[in-house]
Amino acid sequence: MTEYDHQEDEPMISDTALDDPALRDLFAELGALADRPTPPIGDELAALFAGATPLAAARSRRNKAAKTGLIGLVTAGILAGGVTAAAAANELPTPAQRIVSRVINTLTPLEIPNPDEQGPVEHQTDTNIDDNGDQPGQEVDQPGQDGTEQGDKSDGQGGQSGGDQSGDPAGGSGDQGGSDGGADQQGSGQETTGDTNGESGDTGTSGNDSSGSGTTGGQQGTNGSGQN
Amino acid sequence: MTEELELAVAAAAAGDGEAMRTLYEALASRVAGYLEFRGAADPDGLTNDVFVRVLPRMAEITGGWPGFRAYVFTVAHGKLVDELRSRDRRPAHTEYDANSDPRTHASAEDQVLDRAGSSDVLAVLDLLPEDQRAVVTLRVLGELTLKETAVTIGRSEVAVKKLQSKALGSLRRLLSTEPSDPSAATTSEGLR
Repeated sequence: MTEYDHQEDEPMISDTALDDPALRDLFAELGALADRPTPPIGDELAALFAGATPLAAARSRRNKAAKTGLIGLVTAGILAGGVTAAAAANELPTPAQRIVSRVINTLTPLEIPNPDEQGPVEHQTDTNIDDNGDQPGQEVDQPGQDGTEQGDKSDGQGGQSGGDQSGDPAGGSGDQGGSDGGADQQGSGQETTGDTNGESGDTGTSGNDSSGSGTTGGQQGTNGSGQN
Repeated sequence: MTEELELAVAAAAAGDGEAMRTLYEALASRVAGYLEFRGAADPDGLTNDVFVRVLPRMAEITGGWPGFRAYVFTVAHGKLVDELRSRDRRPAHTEYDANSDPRTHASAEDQVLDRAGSSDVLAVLDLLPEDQRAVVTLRVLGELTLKETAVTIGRSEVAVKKLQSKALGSLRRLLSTEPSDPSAATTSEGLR
């Protein structure tokens, strides 16, 4: 709404032109046009005086409310679609993925991956080259290929793996669990050395060990020794 | 009177129907006169439409009575422009009425009677260009200030001042030459 700044002291055009008799008569005639009877009040105006809301105003309000509702619906639809798409791609955080998958799978024929129904993610690609000699693209934590486990399997005496820090106190002869444990945490390449030092039967043929997790290797080694 | 109208504006903004009626009676005849003079086909009905549109928005209007009056004339001017444009697009087909045909020439007796009336003086305004006529009419009939007139017709205040100056100059020239000089009509035609 434009705010009008009425200047009371500004002379009207008729005041400035009053010096000219011709213009004075003209403006007097022009001003006399306002001396006509007041136009009759129509039905809509009478209803307005009685306190009713004019149709145009009510329609305008309804249109405004409808427009607001439509914008809200569109926004909600976009958000829901985005969340559903992200859930379908299994890109949501696990709690959110769980909730969204339950809702979608229950209410719609769509199938969204549910983290509860999936096993742990086993394949992770190591894309970094670190000090332990890991090669990019090699997979980690592969049971059976771990150098520790191989070393334990080669332990003909059934000695326990060096990684088994909580293992049998009556451990295998010569198997220096302490050094093995430290080696496991640093990587199985060093673990090989520990096993070699501990027992002659422990060949520690784990030169191709690419494990980054000594703890896992130790557990696998324990299993191997149990089988032995 | 102005204080009473100021109170009526405030009360109407609060939804008082009687105050709205007071405002209507104070301004409607002036608005209808403006619309009629500018050529509205149904000035009374258009005046009703103007107030039906303005009164529900009283709470949004600032500036008291002058602000209300200026806003009413702004809406009236807009509706008039809409009607005139609409009429240009869809000309109304009506029965021929010789009395309203501008191509007919009045008899000498009618001309004398007309000169006795007021229409001859106001006819000079029809010789002005559209925007100059609007400025003069709004300033005199609507009692609007320069700034309010500028807002009403959507021009700058400086432009309105120039239009007013040109209009007054043209009117002085026309009114001083028209009764005696027949060539004035040709000159005034050039103003359109």
